[in-house]
Amino acid sequence: MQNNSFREKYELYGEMLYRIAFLYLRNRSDSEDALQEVFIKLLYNAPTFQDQQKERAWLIKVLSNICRNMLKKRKKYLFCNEEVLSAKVEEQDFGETLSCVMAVAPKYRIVIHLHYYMGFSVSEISKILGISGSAVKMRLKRGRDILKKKLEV
Amino acid sequence: MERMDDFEMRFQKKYKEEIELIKPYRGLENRIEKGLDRPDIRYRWNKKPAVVLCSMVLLMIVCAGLLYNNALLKPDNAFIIYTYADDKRVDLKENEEVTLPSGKYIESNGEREFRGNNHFYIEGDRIKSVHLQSKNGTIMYFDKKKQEDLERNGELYVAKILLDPEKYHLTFPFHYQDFKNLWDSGMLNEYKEKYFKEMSTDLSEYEVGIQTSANNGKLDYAEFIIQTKEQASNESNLYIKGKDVTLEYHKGYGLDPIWHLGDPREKNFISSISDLSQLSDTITMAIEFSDGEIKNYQIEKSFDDAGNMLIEYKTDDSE
Repeated sequence: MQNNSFREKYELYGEMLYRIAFLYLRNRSDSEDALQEVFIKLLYNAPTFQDQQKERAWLIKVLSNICRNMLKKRKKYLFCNEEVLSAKVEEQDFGETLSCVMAVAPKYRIVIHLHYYMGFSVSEISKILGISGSAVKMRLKRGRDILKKKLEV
Repeated sequence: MERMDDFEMRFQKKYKEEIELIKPYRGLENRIEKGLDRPDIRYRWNKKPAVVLCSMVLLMIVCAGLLYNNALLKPDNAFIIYTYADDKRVDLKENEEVTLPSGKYIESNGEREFRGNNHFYIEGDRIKSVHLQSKNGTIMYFDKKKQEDLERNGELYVAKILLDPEKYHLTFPFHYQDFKNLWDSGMLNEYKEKYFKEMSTDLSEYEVGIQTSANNGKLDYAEFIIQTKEQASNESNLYIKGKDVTLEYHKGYGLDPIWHLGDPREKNFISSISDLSQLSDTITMAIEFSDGEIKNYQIEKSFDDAGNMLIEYKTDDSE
């Protein structure tokens, strides 16, 4: 991928990927690092894609793995120093709905985002995240129930 | 997508409005782009396995070097002892009793037969000699190295003649007189000319060794060794036998002495498994290495209730 091509890809996927990273990591700095990581992979390790849909799905999948790994590392670090996590999570002035979404566990957050915002079906989410369809349904249902409680109070 | 209820529709609308406010800062693409061109990032994924591989190779080279140096600086007076049971090699381990799988006497068609090999083999690059002392029996050894040396120098026999039984009409059994008749008949003159030259061809002045085998009563192998008295005496010296023997070690030949008590193959020597205890022995073994170190061991040979031979060589700390 040439730099011009990177610009095209960034135009196409940059914001979308950044939001997903932010949903996972809840801070800008880490989300930027994750975004850089996923573009490095796209540049040097990506397979050939048949169409844009597949490329997009691959990017989300890779980014999810990157973010999950970053969260794991953060948890390890947290084990040593509890102050780190709170420092890593940025308190932002989100709207009520987004605040509620950000408050639920990452595994529900990402499924809700992919389904309600990006319009992916259960089977598509299942493929992207590498989990079963029933797990996706379960996460959607639980996430929805949590949000319903929070938003309808 | 499944049909959404009111809550989901309201949620989706509000969520879309709010999440779209989350955007990367302007110029992030420039930062990422710069990062993409950095060679350390460009190659790091390819480098990682290569670095690991190179490190491993380097580590192996260092270890091999250390081991090699160690071997040079500190001679390893290692050796192995093994024996055979039928065709199966059985390695003996220090201070560990080994049961030879078929090292037992069995009754077969009314004949008692010992199945197992009475040889034991000692090998070690730095061995100079091995001193063996049998408590209850004797040790036997055939010196293959000396045999080769004598053979090479013509000190073992005048002629070794392999004859085609069919060509010379040899029949089984074949005795010394048969060979003498053949010799005197002139049929073997080519061998006389080849090997005896200026020497006497009077067979009575020589020792004649005959080796034959037959298949279904028909002689299929016949070899004759003709020796002077002195050569025959040399050959008999190739056998070392005694309760206390010192065997010189020659690299490439190893040592394969025989632990021997009486003649266990003699008929009726063993009448029951309980008699096998007569064949039990303790052999003291002192291995001398080229650097002067001497290692002392005791080889215990015994039999279990099923008739299996048990062997153990133990560290001898008595000296």
